[in-house]
Amino acid sequence: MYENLNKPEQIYLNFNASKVRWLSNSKVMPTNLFCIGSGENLQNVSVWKMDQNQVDFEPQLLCESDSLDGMVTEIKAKNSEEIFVSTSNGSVYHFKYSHFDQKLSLITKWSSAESHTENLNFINSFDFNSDCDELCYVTENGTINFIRLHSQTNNVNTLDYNELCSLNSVLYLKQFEIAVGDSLGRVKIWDARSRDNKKSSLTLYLEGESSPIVCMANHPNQQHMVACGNLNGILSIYDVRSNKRPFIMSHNHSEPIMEVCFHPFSSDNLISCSFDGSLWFWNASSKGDLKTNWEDRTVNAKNYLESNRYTLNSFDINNDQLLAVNNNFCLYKLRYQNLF
Amino acid sequence: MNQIPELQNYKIFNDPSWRRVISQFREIFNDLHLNLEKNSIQETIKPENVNLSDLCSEANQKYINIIDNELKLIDSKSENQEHFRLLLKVWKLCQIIFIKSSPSGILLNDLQEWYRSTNNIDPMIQDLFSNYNHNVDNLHTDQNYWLLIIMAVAQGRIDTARHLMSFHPSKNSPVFRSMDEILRTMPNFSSNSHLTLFEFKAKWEYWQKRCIQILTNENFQIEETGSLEIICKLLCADENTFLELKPIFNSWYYMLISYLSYANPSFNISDLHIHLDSGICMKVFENELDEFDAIILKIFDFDVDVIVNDCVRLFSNNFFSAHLLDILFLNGKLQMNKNDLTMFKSDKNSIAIHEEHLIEYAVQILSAAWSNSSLSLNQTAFDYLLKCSNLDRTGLELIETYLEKISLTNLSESNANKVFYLAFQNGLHDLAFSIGRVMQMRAFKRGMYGTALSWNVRIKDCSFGNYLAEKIIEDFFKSKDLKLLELTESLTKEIIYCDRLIFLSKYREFYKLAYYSNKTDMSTKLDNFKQAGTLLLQLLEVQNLIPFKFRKRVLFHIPDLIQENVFNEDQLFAILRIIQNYENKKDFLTKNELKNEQDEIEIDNDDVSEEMKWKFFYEKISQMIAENFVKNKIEL
Repeated sequence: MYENLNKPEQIYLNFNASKVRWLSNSKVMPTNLFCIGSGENLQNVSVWKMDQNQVDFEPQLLCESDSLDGMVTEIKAKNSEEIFVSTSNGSVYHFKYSHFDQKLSLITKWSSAESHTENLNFINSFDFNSDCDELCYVTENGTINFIRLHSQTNNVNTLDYNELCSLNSVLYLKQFEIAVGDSLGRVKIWDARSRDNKKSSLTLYLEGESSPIVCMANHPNQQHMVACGNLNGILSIYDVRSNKRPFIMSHNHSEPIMEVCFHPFSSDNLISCSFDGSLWFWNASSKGDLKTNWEDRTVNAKNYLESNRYTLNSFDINNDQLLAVNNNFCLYKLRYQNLF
Repeated sequence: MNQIPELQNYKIFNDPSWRRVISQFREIFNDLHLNLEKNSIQETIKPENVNLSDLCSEANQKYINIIDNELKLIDSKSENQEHFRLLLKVWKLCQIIFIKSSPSGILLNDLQEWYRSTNNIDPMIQDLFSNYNHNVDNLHTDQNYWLLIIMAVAQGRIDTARHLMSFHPSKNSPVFRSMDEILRTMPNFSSNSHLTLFEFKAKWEYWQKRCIQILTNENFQIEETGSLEIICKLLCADENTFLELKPIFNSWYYMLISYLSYANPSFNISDLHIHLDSGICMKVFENELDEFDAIILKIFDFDVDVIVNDCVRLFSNNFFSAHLLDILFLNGKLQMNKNDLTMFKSDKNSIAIHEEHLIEYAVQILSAAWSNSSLSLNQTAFDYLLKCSNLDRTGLELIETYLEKISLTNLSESNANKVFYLAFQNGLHDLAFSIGRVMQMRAFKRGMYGTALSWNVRIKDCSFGNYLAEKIIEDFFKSKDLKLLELTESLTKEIIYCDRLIFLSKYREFYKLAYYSNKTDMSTKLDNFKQAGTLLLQLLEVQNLIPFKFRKRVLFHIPDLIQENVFNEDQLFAILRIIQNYENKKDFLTKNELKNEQDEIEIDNDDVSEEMKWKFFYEKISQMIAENFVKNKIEL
C-alpha cells in the first residue's frame, strides 16, 4: 500500500547519531527542519535544514548546541521551535531554536538531585503531556520523575517508588495517565496525579514473553492503543483499557527493535527499526472493512532499507518523509507514497 | 620506541571528518566482502573471475571517491587537508600501477591524469582570468601567463595550452600559427582511437620530426620571453629543457611523467623501470627527496611490502595499508611480489600479510575506542577482524579477548544490551553468558532485582536464579511489598530452568489469589480461595521446591485458608502429612547439626518466640482441621 517513491538517499555525518527528530508541530505538518542528537564521539544536538527544491539530499547544518553532559538518549519536539533533550547523565535540556537568527539557545536544564552517583540516572526515555505543562522521565534505576514545565523552580519531582527494574520507556496516554515499559516486558499504567498511591492502576504483559520493552508509541488518534517493541524483536499492540492479550504483529525482527511508531495518516500501519538495520513497514490494514479488533487482521511487512546492515538507532516521520540514522554515521531519507 | 607519540597518532579515529571516512570505508569493505561471498557461493562458470577483479577495482574507486569527497567537504585550513591529499595521491597511483595496469599496457593516459588531478592548475587559470576579468587583451602581460601554458603542455593538456595561447596579441604571427598547428596535430593514443600501437608510433615519430623542423627553422625571436621555444623543446623531448624547468615540476615523478609523455608516449611498466634506473630526473631533485618520494619510487618499483610499511610509517596508522592490501589480495595481485614467488609458501605468506595489516588496523581502532567507549567504533573494528581467519590467532579470538575486557561497571543498561548482542551475533555464547552474569550481579548489588531477573532469564543462569529468588522472597517476607512478587508476573515458561524462580512465581500466584483478589462477588471469591488452596498444597507437596527456610513461613498461610473452609478431606490429610514431613526434616537437620540449612526465615518481628508461634499454629491448625472434618461430614 505504501510504495517507495525513490531509492533511499543517504549522506554521511561526521558523528554517531543516536536520535533524529523532525522539528514540527505535528507529524503531519510538513517541515524541512530536523535535529540530530549525537551519541558517541560528540555530545550535542544539531539542527539541520533540508532544501525541498534540491534534487540531491544535501541537508545543511544550521547550528549546534554546546556540549551536553552525556550522550543524547531521547529528543522530542514540542513544536517547530522547542525541543527537549535527555542525556545519559540524567539531565533534561529545554532548547529553543530561533528561525530568525538560526541559533539554538538553552532555556532550562534540569538535573536530578543525586547526579553524583554515576550511571544510576541514565534517562532512558521521557514524554510530556498534551498541555506541555508536565514532563515525565524514567531512568535506568527504576525511578519515575516529573518536571513541572511552567513552574519557576527547577525542581525534579521523583515518585517515591522504585520499580526495582530499569524503566525503558514512558508515554503519556491522557492528561494524567502514563504508561511505563520496563525491562521485564511489562507495561504499567500509572495515574500521575495520585503520587501517594504507590501502585500502578494496571499492569499489562505478554504471557511467556518477558524480554525488556525497548520502545513504545501512541496510536495517533486512539490514545488507548500502545505499540511496544521488545528486545527480542516482538512488536505487540496493547489496548490499555483492558488487560487482554495484546495483538502481536510478528517475529519478523530477529533482533532488538530500536524504535517503533504508528503511521501518522494511516494508523493501521506501523514502522519499526531494528538492531540489524532493517526498517519495517507493517501493514495491518483491514482492507476497507471497519474492524476494530486487531486480532482479525492480516499483517504484511516490508523492509524498506534493505541496503542497510548497521543498527538503525532512530527514525522519525514527517508527512511523507522519513529520516533514519544508523550506527555507521549514515543518515537516510526516504519518501513514500500512499497508493490509496 | 616511545609510546606516547604513537598513541597520539591514533587521533584520526576520534577526528570527526576522519570518522566519516572510516565509517564509509567500512561500508565499502563490508559490501565488497559480501559480494565476493555471494559470488563464491554461486561459483559455476569461469567468467566470474572477471567479475571479481571488476568488483575489486570498483571498490577501490569508491575508496578513492570517498577521500576525494571528504577533501571537498573540509575547509582548506583543516590540518587533515594535507593528510588526505597525500593519501589520495598515493592511492590513485597505486590504483594505476597495481590494479589498472597490465604488463604491456600503456600507462601514459592514466599517469597524466594522475599528474593533472594531484597537481591541478585549474585554480591558477581561474585566478588568471579573474584578474583580467574586463580586459582579456592584457592577459599575456601576467607573469603567470606563460608559466601556465608551459605547465599545461607539461601535463599534456594541449587544449588548455592552445586556449591560453589564443589570448596572445601576436597569435596570428607565423611562428604562433605553426606552433598552434603542431599542438593541434599531436597524435593521441587512447583506448578508443582506431590506431594500433604500431601505427601510433609511426605517426608520433613523424609528428616529432616536424617539431624538430619547426625548432630549427622557425624564428622564435619575435616572442621576447622565449617561452614558445621552450614549449617546442618540450615537444621535442629535449632532456635539458626538462631539467631546466625543475621549479615547474616540483617533484621528480612529475618531471618523469612529463618527460616520458613526449620522449616515449607509448611507455609501459618495463620502460618506466628503464627510465627510473637511468635516474636522470631523480638526480635533479636529489637534495629534496623525502619519505614520500621514496614511497612513489617503490610504487613504480612494484615493491608492495616496502610501500605499505613506509605508508604505515608516514601516516602512522594502518588505514591505507589494510584497505589496499585487502583489495590487492582479493584481486589476486598480491602474489606478484617477487620475493613471494621464489618462496615455497608464497600463497600462504601473502594471506598473512594482508590480514596482518587488517588486524593491525582493527587493533588501532580498538585502542582509540578504548578511551571513550564508543561502541560503533568497536563494531567497525570487529567487521575487519571477522574477515581475518588465516592467522594463528583469528580475528574472532581477538574480538573475544577485547569484549572480555570491556568494562561493564560504567556501561549503561542499553549499551550492555548491545554488547551482549554483539557477542551473541558473533557466536561467542560463553562470553555473552559472562556479560549477562556480570550485569545481573551489578543490578543485584544495586538492589535492582527486576533488572537482575531480566538478565538472569536471558542467560538462564540457574544458580544465581536460585539465589536471586530466595533474596526476593526474603525481602518480601520482611517488607510485604507486593511489587517484589510482581516482578515475576510476566515470567512463565522461560523460568523452568530454575526451581526457586518457579516457586517464586507460583507463590505469587497463590498470594494474589488468596489475599489480593479484588472480586467482590462471594462465589468467585470462594473460587479464588479454593484455587489458592489447591495451589498451595501442590507447592508444598513437591519435595524440595520450597527451600526449607521458607517452609514454615509458607505453612503459616494454611490457617487463613482453612478458615474459609476451602479444603476437602483428602487435602486436609495432605496438610497433616506435609506438617509431619516438615517436622521430620527439622528433627533430622537438628540431629545432624546442619546449621546453615536450619536457619529459617523469621515469621514476624514481634516479641513472641518462634517456638511459641509454632505451638499456637499447631494448636490452631489441629482445632481447625477437626472442625473442618466435622463440617465436611455434615455437608456430605
